[in-house]
Amino acid sequence: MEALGWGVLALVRVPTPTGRAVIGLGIAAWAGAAYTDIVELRLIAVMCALTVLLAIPWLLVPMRVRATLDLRPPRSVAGERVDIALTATNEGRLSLWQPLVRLPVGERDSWLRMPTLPPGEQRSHELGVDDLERGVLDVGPATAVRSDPLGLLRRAVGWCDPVELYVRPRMVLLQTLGSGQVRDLEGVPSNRMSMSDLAFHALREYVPGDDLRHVHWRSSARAGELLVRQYHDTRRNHATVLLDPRPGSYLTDEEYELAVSIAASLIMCAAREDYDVSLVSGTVQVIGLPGGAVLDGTCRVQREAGADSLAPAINRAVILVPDTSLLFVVSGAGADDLEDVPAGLVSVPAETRCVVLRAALKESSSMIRQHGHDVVTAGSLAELSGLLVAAS
Amino acid sequence: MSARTRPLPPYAGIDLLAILLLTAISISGFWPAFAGYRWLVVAAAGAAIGIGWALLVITVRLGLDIVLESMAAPYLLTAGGVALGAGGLFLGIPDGDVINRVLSGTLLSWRTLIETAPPLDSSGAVLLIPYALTYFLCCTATAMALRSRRAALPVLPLAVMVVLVLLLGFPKPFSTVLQGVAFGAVALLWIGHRSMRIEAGRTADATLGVVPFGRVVSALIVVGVVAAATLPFIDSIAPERRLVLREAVEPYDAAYIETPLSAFRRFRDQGPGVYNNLADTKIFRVRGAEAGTRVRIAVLDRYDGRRWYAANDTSPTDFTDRFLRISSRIDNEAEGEEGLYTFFVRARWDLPWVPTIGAMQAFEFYDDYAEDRLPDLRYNRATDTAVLPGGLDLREDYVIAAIPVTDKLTDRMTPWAQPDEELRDAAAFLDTPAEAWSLDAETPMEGVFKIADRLRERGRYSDGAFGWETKFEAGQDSVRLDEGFINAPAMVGNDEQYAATMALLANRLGVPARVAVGTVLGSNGVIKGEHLDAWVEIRVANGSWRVLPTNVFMSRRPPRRDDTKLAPVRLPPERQEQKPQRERPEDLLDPPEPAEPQTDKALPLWPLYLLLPASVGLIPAAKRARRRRRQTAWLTAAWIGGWNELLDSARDLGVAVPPRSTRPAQAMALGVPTSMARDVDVAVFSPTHPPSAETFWTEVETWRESLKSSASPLRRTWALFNPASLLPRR
Repeated sequence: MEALGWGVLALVRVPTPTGRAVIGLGIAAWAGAAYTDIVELRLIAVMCALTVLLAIPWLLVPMRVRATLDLRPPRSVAGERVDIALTATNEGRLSLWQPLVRLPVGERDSWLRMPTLPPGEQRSHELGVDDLERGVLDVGPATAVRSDPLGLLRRAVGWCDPVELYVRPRMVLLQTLGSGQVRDLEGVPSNRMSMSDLAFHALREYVPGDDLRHVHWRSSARAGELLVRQYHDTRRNHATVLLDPRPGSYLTDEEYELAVSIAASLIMCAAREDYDVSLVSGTVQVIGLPGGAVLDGTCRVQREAGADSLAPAINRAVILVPDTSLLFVVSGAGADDLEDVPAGLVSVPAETRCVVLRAALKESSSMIRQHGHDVVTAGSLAELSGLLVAAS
Repeated sequence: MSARTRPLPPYAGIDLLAILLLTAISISGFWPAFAGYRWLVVAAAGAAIGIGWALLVITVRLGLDIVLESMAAPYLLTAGGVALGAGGLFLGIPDGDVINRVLSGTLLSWRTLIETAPPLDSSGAVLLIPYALTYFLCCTATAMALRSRRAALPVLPLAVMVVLVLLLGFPKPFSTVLQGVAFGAVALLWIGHRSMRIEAGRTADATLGVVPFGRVVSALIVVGVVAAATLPFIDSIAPERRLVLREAVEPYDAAYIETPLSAFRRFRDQGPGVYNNLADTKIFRVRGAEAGTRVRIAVLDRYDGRRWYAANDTSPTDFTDRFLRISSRIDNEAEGEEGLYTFFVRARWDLPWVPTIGAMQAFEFYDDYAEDRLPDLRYNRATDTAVLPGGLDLREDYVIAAIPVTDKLTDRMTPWAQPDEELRDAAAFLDTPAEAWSLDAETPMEGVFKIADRLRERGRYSDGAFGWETKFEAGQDSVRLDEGFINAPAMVGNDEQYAATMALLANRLGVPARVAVGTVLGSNGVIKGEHLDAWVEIRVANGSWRVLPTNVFMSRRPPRRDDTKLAPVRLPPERQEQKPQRERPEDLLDPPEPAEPQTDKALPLWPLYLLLPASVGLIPAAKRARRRRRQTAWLTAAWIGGWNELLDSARDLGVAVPPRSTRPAQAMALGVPTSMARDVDVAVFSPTHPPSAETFWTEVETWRESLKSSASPLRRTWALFNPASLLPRR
């Protein structure tokens, strides 16, 4: 019976609003003619009925099209523009006259009119989508509307499956995450040269001032001049960003977006400085992946009701990422349990630096040092860079 | 002023063109209603001003609702100048009086339009009708076309226009092809064009609203095919009569006014002392008519058992049978040469009937001071008689333009094929004389003449004025005509009784007849009361009414006291017995009932119609029963049944399953995990009793659901009724 209901619904959707209007006009004209015997009305009713009947064969003409969607750029940033290119190949035998294609982008409906597709030919059409919102948007499925010449009936024909478009939050370029990071001798080699570390890089000529301890005597003896060993600076810094997912922590939607933007900016900066990066926000837990993947995680974060308060969340984050050396806790102006952060920090190793960032649109920016961690209040994204420099 | 203006939407030109076309098609229905061309100019001005106002309001960025609310103001300001031709204050600004006239004219003049015999003069308040129609509806349609994103909405006002024009129009429409097929075709094309523009929904940008040329061409072809396919229907679906206000609105009711036939004794000498007697008074003098021209005063075409009277809507076939107001010209078809006849009123004529000649084409009063009585004049084109309540005073002379019609009747003519059933029933009390006196007639017309002969021979003439003759009273009710005339011992009367009886008898024979009062002009053109006669008019096959002159059916012999008493009219005895067989079937009041009607009744057909839905419903029922049987089967049968159920669901959904292959292969084809197929194989082929199949069935159910949900909705619905799985597998 449910299937029957579905079928009826599908049938009702076949006429366009115009088609329904024409059917209604025909019925009204017929009723009027039945009441008044005015032949002209009856003729109009007959014409409406015939037109709708003649529209049916157009729907039955098959439409075989293979299409692909290309996003340029494949990852976007909120508020930016994405160009979507729909490339379609007509595999049928009839040419398609400027087919109208519906291409939903997230919640938005976009329409585009393809150029005429001769059989066997490939054509593409670009559609720019502006002012996107942060999130993972489904682009597509592209469905072509097959309709009759008068536009009374329509049938949607799927052309291709949807693709995902990651729209990242707005980000700012941060100069530094603050000084005082722990250098770890067992870390990965960096590009920075160092005189004393474990990862050997090369030998170079001695210049006055070099520590004599680093002179490689054997090579010096072979070469007849003093050579010193040079190492890569090795370090393993792991920055973890904990984004507070509780809806109550944020006064407005904009504030939450600001918090997400702050988190994303931190992640980007950390990734550029070759840190390992992790993002923890409720059920979204991206740990130790390349920076791009963690940034994609910021597209997915949502506020989650019933999430842990800050102290247990910090505990969990430390368990998930035990080698954290830099912990950022991002929350909003509505978070009232900042006092509990030290309780959470008990489980954090002593050398781990912790910064609490509050996204507070209505407040002026400030930075205070508190119980061994910094509390930075950011009123806007633009101020973040300066605030972090101040905090370092 | 730097008002921000809004550019018109693309294709606004197409919208305006369509509105103008549809308006022209609609308003063309007024073509036969008006004379001259002024109404066309007024209608065009209405359309132009309406469209202009809508464009103005919309380009200054106001919405559809503002247009609808504000459109009355320009109408009131312009209607006086355009339609009424009124001056007003200055620069065409109307004063209060003009606005008043516009308001009352708009509300009331539709009645003038439908109560006047066409064509109307193209002047006066009637022109407000085409002006208001085109102004308001064009304005609404334009605003809707430019502001609404609904494709069919702007067609509505124009459809209302065509319906209103048709309702105000004539039973015989101006052009069905134009107002039905052409209107429909243009409207559908327009709707199609608009629909293509808004196909992409609300968010459409300019490039999406572009209408591809190829689709316009194919839309033209589709609408052309539809219009061509509709044309053959026109004749088959045209009904006899259609609803038009002209027919629905009660016209001037002439039934209760005094007829010259009832007052006939006033035209005959009643002795001295009768003050209103007109017998010897010169009432009219006619100039312009030759001697022998027939002047008709009244035509009476209904009989209600008491008297003959004039009624509206007496003719079943033509639509001119009403007392309507007249304009300066009347559209009154007749063959012949038009003449001008002047009627001088020489004595007060207090009957409301106006004497005319032939088919009148125009009427006007000789002197201007009587002009204001013209709107009261009513003319019936079917009977060619005119009525003016209050009659005519001395010197209210008038001139008519008329075409004298031929009215000679011979007994070789065939009567009009369609008898007047109402009059025939009214004349039922004269059945016996009608039949007895026309016994040997071969044709109905011959019967009429035979009856006229019998009336003339049998009857005597008296005006009932003097001496013992005063016992012969005036009157034409059924008693006076039956026991007081035909079946009386002395059949005595004057024109009133003779004409009334003759017309009734003719109608009883199935020959349409009516009574007329008038005279045949003498050489000096003077009409005195005593010149007036009552005659009978008979409708012949070509539809014209011919005169059966008074002296054909009326005796001029005076009665005598010693005349032999007449016996009541009877049928000859041999005819009396045959009578029941001669009676027409439609006269049978009680058709004999069959003894047992129930036994002869055919079996009712409606169970047959139930067969179709029943047979459709049978398939799902059969599937349900099969499923239940498989589910409750024993041991291995339940496992096999579950697997077959899955296969059958797939088959109904149109998924190709290899019928003769292993279950794992089938599972692969279905996209079902092969472990299910293995489970069934194990259950079927293991030597021990298989485990219960319940969990397997739930698994089957979930896979059936997923198969269903991956199919299209239509396919799913069809799967319910698809008999494929009930048929043997190939």
